[in-house]
Amino acid sequence: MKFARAWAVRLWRVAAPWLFGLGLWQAIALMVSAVRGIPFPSPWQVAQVLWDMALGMIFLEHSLYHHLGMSLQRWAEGFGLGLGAGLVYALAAGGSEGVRRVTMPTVEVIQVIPGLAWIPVAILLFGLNHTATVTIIVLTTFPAVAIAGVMGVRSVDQRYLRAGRMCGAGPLALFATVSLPCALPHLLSGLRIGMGAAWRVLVAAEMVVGSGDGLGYAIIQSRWTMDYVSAFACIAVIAILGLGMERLVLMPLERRTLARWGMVAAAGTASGAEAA
Amino acid sequence: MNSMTPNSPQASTEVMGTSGPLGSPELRDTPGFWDLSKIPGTHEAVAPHEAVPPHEAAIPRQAVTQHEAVTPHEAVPPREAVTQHEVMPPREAAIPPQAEPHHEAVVLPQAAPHHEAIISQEPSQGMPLLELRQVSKIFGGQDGRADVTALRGLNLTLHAGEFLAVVGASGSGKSTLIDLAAGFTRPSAGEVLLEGRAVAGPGPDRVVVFQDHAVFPWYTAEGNVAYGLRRQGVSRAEARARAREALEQVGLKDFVKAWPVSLSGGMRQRVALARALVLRPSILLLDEPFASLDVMTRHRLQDQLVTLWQQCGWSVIFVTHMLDEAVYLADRVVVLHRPPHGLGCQENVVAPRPRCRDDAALAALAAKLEGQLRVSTEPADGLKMWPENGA
Repeated sequence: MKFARAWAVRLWRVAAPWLFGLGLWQAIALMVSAVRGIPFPSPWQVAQVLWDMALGMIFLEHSLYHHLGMSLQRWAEGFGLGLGAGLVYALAAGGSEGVRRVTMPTVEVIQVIPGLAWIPVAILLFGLNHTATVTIIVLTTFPAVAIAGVMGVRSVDQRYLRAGRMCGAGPLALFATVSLPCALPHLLSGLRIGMGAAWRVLVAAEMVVGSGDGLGYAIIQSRWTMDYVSAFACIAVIAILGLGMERLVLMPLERRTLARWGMVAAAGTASGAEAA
Repeated sequence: MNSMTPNSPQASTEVMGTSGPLGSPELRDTPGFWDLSKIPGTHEAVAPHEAVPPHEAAIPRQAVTQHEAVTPHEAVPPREAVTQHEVMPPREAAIPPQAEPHHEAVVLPQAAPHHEAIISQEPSQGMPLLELRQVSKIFGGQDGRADVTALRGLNLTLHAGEFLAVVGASGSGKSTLIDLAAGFTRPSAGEVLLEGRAVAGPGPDRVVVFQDHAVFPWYTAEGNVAYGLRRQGVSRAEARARAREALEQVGLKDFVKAWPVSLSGGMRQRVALARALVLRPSILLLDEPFASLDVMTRHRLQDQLVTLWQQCGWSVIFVTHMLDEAVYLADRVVVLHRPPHGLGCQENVVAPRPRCRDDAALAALAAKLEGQLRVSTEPADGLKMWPENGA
């Protein structure tokens, strides 16, 4: 009896968020259908289409896997470039007050420009092609990583650097064993923001894609073919993958590092943890 | 730790004395190399604020004491001249006989006689291991503010095997002194000499225990202690074994795998101590290491520190603002005033070890030093009494 009850509680904990989210969706679908008299894809319909797609149904000339693969590739390319550039910038600007003063405002401006606004810029720069798509993703990732990275570099604690030097650590060892872990809270939060932003901007980025594929492209294109259920299915895939990256990559990374070290949250850098 | 007999500080100082460049005869014969002040019975105090006519400084005994405060190479500014002689009562008289049995536990009994002998015969045993000569440190003011003088014209000598305590109010440059000795910062003027050579940067031969311990939160206790050894190229397995040994020495045997965040303040400070002692430094620099701990923990760690010092043969500079702590721990206590006054009086603590916390002689010494300390701290901003301050 007691055992069954514990299981029921556990089941409820897992199911409740799903029930809430899908229930809200279902309620909106029913309401829109009733008020406006047009079909609004319900969770069940979307699930059915997703199932068909998973079995290899061709839509917009490609399978779901092809669309997904292309999108992931563009995302990885853009995110990787943005991440690399952001980290390099963070090292340069974090280390030099002059570089920071001159360049930081521009980076901040880039950060507040929404993804869609980059479309004309990207087309002007590269035309309607793969490069333009990747550029939009890079421009979204870069400022997020750069700004968090600069904060990370600046948050490196002098005391720890001294302790490291005193123990005989050279510049390289000092960077790997002191600076990097010190900056990690900021770096991880930058990584999280950058990853999410890059994934979200995918739809905008694939508006300018030259070839007819990708999840973002499929969403836009479904609108013209009035295939709203497929569009919803693609949105669902984007959401699941975005959440998956957060849950399967970032959160375990955080659990293994910051949580264990007591350096929780970006505000709780070294000194914050010490005060506890 | 060392290969020498444990609990035998005399043995350790001898080993240190005969090894390395300091042991070479030509260095020993250098004029001024041997500190004259270690002649028994010359325990002196320097009152910084009283100017002395030059003829007084010519009295031989005062000339002797100048060696203590000022290196022979430098001219003595009038304010720093010696004005006062305080001879501590003989050790036997200072310590009530019944005080002896109270010292228990921390220091093994056989350690006491050795050390007693050293202290009573030669208070400032050994040769200068670390020497600060006319050291000044000025921090450049930012955003249009004036430069800040942390130290001015400081002369200080640390002898091999000595436990030196530096007391001073905040702003007297105590931490700057540690930073300079450790090599974290360079002096603006003057020189910091380690065994006669200028200190170029931080190194594992001069290890600091910071007030806020600076234990890396991203390594376990063991990882923190092994860190320095790994940087020295010691193999992973050996570093781990030695780290465990060091943690055992500071009483953290059961917390080898613990993350610092899960340890108490005192335990983290002990990890820092283990991290320092595992490197087998010749000089241990402690910057108010126990200031943020509760009294019980502080006392326990103080005793642990003395025990380890006696075992390992370190030379120690212990910076603190607590006089009772200074006189309880140290062989010699120097008072550091705010610039431009620099080094004030110094006292040799001749009480035998293990010492008793409520030793009347120690308390009297602390009270006397407090009077000295008050001289420089009374004007809160340090400006009224010393108009030249901040110049």
